Amino acid sequence: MAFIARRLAFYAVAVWAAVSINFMIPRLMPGNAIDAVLGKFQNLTPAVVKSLEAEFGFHPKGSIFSQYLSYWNDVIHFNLGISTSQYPTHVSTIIGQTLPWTLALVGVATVLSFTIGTLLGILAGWRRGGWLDRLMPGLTLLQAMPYFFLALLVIYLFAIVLGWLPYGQGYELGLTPGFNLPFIGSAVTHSILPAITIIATSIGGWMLQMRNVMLTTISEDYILVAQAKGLSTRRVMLTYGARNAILPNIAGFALSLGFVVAGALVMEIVFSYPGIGLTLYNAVTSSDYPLTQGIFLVISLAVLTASLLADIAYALADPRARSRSAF
Amino acid sequence: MGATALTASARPAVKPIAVLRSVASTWRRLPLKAKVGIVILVVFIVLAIFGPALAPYNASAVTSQATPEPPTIHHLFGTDNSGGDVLSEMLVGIRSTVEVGLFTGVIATVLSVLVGTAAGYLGGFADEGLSLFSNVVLVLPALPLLIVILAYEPHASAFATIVALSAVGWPWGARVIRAQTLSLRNRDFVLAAREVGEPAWRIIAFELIPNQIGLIAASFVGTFLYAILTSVALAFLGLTNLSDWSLGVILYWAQSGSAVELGAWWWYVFPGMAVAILGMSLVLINFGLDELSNPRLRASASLLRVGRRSWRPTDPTPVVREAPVEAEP
Amino acid sequence: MSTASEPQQTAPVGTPDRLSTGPAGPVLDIRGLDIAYRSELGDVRAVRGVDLALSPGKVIGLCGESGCGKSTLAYGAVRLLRPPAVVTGGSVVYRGQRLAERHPDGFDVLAASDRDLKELRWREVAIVFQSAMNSLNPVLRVEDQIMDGIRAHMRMGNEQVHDRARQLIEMVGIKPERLRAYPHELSGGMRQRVMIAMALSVDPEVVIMDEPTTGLDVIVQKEILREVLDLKVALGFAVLFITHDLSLLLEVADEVVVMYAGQVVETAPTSEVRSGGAHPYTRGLLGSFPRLRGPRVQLTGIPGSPPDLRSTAAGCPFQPRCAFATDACLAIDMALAPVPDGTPGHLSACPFVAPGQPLPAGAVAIGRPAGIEAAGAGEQSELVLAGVDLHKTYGGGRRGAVSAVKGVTLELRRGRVVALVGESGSGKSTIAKLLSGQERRTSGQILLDGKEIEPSRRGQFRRYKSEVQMVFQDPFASLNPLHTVRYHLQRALAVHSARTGRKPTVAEIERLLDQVKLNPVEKFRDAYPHELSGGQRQRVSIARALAAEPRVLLADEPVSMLDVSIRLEILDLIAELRSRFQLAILYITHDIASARYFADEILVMNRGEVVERGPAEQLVQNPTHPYTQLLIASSPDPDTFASELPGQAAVIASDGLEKEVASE
Repeated sequence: MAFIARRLAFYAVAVWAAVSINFMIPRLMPGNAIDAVLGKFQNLTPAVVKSLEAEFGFHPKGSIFSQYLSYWNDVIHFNLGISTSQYPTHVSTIIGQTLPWTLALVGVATVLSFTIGTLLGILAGWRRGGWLDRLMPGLTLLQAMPYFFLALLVIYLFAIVLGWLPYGQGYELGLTPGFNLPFIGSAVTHSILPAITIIATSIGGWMLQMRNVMLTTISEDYILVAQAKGLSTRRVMLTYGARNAILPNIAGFALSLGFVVAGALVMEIVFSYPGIGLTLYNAVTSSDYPLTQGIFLVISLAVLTASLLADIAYALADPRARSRSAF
Repeated sequence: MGATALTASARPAVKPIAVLRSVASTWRRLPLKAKVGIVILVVFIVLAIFGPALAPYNASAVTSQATPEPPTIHHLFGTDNSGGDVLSEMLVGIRSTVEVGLFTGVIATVLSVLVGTAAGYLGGFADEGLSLFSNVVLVLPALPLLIVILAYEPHASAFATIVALSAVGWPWGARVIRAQTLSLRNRDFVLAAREVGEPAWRIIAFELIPNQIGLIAASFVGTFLYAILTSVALAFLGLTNLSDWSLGVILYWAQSGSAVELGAWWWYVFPGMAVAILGMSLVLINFGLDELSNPRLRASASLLRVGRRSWRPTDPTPVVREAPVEAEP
Repeated sequence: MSTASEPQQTAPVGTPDRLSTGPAGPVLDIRGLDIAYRSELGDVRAVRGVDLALSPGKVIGLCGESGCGKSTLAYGAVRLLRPPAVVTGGSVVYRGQRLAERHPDGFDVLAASDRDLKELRWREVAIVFQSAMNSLNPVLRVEDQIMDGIRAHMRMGNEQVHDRARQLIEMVGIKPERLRAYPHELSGGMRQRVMIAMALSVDPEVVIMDEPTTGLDVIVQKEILREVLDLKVALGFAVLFITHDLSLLLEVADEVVVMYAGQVVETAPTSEVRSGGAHPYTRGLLGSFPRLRGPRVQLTGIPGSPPDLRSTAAGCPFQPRCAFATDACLAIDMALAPVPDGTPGHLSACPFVAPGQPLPAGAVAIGRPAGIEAAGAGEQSELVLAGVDLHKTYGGGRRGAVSAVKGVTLELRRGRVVALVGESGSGKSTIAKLLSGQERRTSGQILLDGKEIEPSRRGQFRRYKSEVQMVFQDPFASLNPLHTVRYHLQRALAVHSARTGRKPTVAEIERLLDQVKLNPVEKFRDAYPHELSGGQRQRVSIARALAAEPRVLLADEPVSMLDVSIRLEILDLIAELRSRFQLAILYITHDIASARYFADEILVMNRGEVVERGPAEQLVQNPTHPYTQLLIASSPDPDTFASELPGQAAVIASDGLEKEVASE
């Protein structure tokens, strides 16, 4: 399909851009980065300093172009260097430990938020002036709230004042991570508050978007035709209305994923949730540049992959996508 | 006659009264939501200008105090753990938060108008290239990128923050404006202006851009909101200059001073609500702009007129047997 | 075509004996219907006290200009309008056979609930919507859209539903394989056929057709209309046919209802309308469109524009535009009354004017300016602009190139009108783009005063524009809604002031407005486009073109977006300017009848080539190329039922169908 081919080409460019930005940032930034890092290791012999420099990839050898090629080689082999704050753990190992937490929390919460928001948007757009439609402005105001501020309120109310749910960390200390019931139960209860916060801040946006497209769609002639055909109200609403209105929403999902994921990462920091967002924060505050960059790369790739999946879903859902331009 | 008529007609004279009148008539057409939003925003801008002068205490004054004090008559919004007055910190901090939002909004919107209009009007390879570029920037996760950039430039000044936010904040607007330019470009009135022999810059400046004012305004408001939320988040993470008060910086100190655990709600609720209300005003303005440009979004008035509160598209035409409502003279 | 001409054999769908056993009364009876659009400024009374009775198996044609309320009437009668529309009075009763037992007094549509109406919708009253592109759900296959209607109303097994869908699609002349297609994969004509198949899928007794062929080319239009009429005979449904094109109704309808400003002004058997009609408005409409056959008669248009529907003033709403108007018209009660000495069922709302009463002098008329044709010396008049062997190819790449124009040569001479006639996709608009410099030709020459010129080249564009100007098709799109009339004209004057020597002064702007008869000029000078009617906007467009003082005017369908009654005025204006400024005019149109009236020479285009050219009258009277013959045979004609050319028509028609398929 030409549409998918064009999208794949686009994502190839986006991946190239993400990797290249990652390559360039440390080289463009005014840097006493090395000193900052090496300052942490007191009393080092010059030989150790030299070997550390080599290991962290500072003062790289060769022309900028050969550095670029070898950087690509490293990226392809997922060799992202060594963390300075958790020396001598490899960056890829740290990411491998933290990414699953984020995927489970942010992935599930985002998909839930999109699904519920879209369904509510369909209903709000379908019944003009109904209670859901009237509720719209209030719900979308949640968007205007800084996500971490809502997180603070949620923690204060549910975890501290009411004490209903735990917060901080991903599970109760002392439990062994693995497929055992206490651990999974603890992980789930620990993820409820952050998940609720993510859903609360993003659901209004999905809902508003779906409702607005729905309102445009219901004034299309084919809705009138469906009504004239005497079809059931349900079929008119879903097969004729929502089925068409959801297309721009899926396309929008692919594009706004970057924004949503960013908010979710900050949420992890507030909740001390052991995902990739918190790790990024810790890496930044401890000037762990290899880890910072590795995480940015992985987040970019994850967002791009999710966007690509949304695009493929769009192509499958819209028979006209084939003949349309990709951008 | 000739000369005066020429000056009078060649440049449509801008009469101050006419401008006032058109502003007034635009205001009247605005939906209530937008009016509320604009009023709140104006209050914040006034606070940004005069806030530091109004602050009852020196915001950066430090008394060696270990615990934050709840609101009292002396400290309306309470104090933080070093004895600073939260209200004064907020009055000083609103300026830099609003500043970052406003300047980022302006710069990013100018960028998106330039890129969007150029891509849409020029077409061909220029369009392909610019669209590809903006979509790539759009799809890359902006906040992590900013975090990485600021990790190398810790405690960045407001100026650096504005530049960084603008650099990643323009593509959404560019995308929307490009789509609109594409549809306008093939409208007959643009073709007709070319037929008349108008040069390209005049077509862009006098035919295309004036028809996109609504979109540009919406894009500006959206970027404003994005910049405020993101800059507050960055400050909250401690990635901007912490010695400069802003709403995000207050929240950073609250978080690092364990305000939540201490139950010092005033320390983060007041600045957080200030951000939320500022954001809300922008969301309300965008709601209003949306309704203004898309009448389908505000059908509730016409529903009331036919005696309904809610309406589904499949409901049959209402039958109201009453005398027609006369037009007002 | 064969399926349509033998519908009984291929269409077990339906009950052809309904006509003989049907009740005597009307199947759809509308009385005194009032429909209003509620607005802040009071009600817009779009339909006022309309009576309409549709008898079983008959075709009623509902006709009027845009905004007259014809569509509002039809959709409101079956309660498909949405707020702010509201039915404020009257009654609509449906008396179909199937519902006769349950509703012995008829089905009261206005009293029915949403649930009750489901019984009426599609099964009893089906609708063929205007724009088939937007009427089909873009994400559902054609078969699903036909079948869901069947499933909603008939108890059938899955296999039977599929069979029925297959029969229906064959019945309208589409291969059953196309059932698997999505709407965007079909051509405009095929989509409209699908719409018709859908409407007939559950055997309704009434079919409302809302401009079912508007936007289609005349040849396809003719085929579809013939199919509809054949199916009507076979299946026995009644049709409410809504159109702005009175000439079309004269071919298909048994009875014609003419609406103006929300009211019915005349109801008459079609034969009565064909012989002239009674109400002055009907007569104005009849006199507005040019005819193809018979002698060239003087045409009379209708000056002015329709009234504001908010007004509640008494009297005849047509009075301000009526050639017969007197003060008495302002006091009459708009009620339909039998026409004196007329046939039964012929009603008119005008008590003053009898059928056949001669028009007073002073009605707008279009005629060829004297002298030009008489001289017959068009060939000798000076050649201004010529296109020689023009070619235009679009695309390339994987999808292959499309040749829009293949070797067209034409000459525009001072004071002469050349008409370029063709259907959509024939390449006629591409010629306009090439000659105006909007697009670059692939090969061939453009000669201005005998010298080759490249209009789209930067350095020559402005000079070329000062000689060759263009008038656009859509007056609602060709003026920037944010600028005043003054701005538009002032810019046009300013750009060309170096050559014309005319400064962009108020006096010059007023002179231009006066030339296009926008009087009083003070009223129009500072108006915004949205304050003007379509005809007035088109005049502004023409004035803008004249500001450059061009020698050539390219007019691409300059009147096709305007109401019938306005068209004549605009053509009349262009004709006058032609003789006044000795303009060379290229008139591009799909309507060969208007070309006959307006042009000196006609070029007929088909698929990028000129297939026939000649002096206008001669070409229309004695077309030699089969395509021209088919085009003329397919054009609706108020005077006679179209004479057929069976052999050739079939060949080219099936060819035309392929072209449609290929063009998608």
